[in-house]
Amino acid sequence: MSLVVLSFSLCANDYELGHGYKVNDSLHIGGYFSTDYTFTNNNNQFELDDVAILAYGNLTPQFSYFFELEAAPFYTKNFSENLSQTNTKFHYERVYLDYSHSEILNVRVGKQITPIGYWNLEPINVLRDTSSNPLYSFKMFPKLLTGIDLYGYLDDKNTLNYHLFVQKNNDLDEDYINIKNDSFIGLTLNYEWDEYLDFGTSLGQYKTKETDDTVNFIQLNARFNVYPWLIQTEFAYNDIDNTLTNDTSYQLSGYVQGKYDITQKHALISRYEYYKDSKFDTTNQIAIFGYSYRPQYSISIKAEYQIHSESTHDKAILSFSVLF
Amino acid sequence: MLKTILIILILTSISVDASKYAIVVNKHSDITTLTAKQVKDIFLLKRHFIHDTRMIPVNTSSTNILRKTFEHEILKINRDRLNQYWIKKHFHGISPPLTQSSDTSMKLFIKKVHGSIGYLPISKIDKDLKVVYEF
Repeated sequence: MSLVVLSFSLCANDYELGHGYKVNDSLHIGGYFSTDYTFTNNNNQFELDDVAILAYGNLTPQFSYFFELEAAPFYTKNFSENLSQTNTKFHYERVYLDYSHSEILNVRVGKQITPIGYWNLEPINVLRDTSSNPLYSFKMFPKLLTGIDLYGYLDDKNTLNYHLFVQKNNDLDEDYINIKNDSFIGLTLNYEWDEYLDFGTSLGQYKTKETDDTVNFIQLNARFNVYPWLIQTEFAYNDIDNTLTNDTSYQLSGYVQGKYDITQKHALISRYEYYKDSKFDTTNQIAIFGYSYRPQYSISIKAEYQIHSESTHDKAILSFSVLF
Repeated sequence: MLKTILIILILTSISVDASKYAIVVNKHSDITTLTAKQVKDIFLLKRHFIHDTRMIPVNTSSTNILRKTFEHEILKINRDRLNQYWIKKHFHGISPPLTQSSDTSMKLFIKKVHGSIGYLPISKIDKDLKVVYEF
């Protein structure tokens, strides 16, 4: 009886913005949305971008689940051409089951975020420090995986963690992935040197469905975090073989980003991005200067200006996003 | 006189260094001692097991002075940064540890639930609990 009373008291949590609403141990609900306004030389556009709801919880002490539906872009208004578009179709962003066996071995099955680097793991506007995503984050590997991920720690101190992931099927929702593929395998290692510095690497292979490319990739990431500074960098190299034409090419992309917290609520950000694709003989470089204001952490208001190597692509972006 | 001053100094230093609080588990647990990092990782839900025991961390209420001391001494994160941490975890489907409203309910929970771990003033620890770390 006392346990029942204890359990009930544990579930009676008050709602707090950014933390979701805990109905009980088996159901926790939340969501997020973001809006942005983009100014370019000849175009102004408003977007209600991500609109998402999520639910998760524990089924047993060993098993837990996660479910997320998302529509993006939900609404777009182009002021220069006076056009608007609404997209209310929700897609499966994440649907997976977790099995927790030990510190060394855990299993995740279903559609999930690909466990590579930093940016890909916190991809939504409200958690990012800039409104925009670097080219690296959506050009170099599939952001989502519909398959199995084995993960855990390889040492007693929980400083070296691994992910070994495999996909041998189509994506659960092919309309909603950056690179359509039916084969994806990879290994990720991350090492926490101390509370201020961590770094990692990933390598693997995926096969694209639309272009019949076999892509072998290697990725590196490092992060240095001593308040008020946060400096992080990620780079990836793709070696590409086309199975139809036997052509070979490569992609190289990455970024270095620095953030300085003026106070807990105000921050300045700058980022340098590089992207090269030998197949199309294109090279892009982008410098970004931004400002972030968070009246509370789950509410993000950001402004940034992008300077592109091709000056016609220069733009400014304002965004407002909330996690609830 | 010098001897008296020395005794006072020694007693003062002892009282300053003495631990006031402890991390506790059920007395039947096979855990004997933990490091500060292990405790931190358990309460940040980065570590879920000690040996074969699945750990269930339990916090006191957020306004409790003991909770604030624990966050300062063990987690070494201020409340704003901790709030950021749990908001990011919410996006990944992880919610903060359970909360108990009083020392009495904390003790009762740890006594009843295998694998649970919490913190209490040393003066309130009884024979049904085992100390695995002091701070």
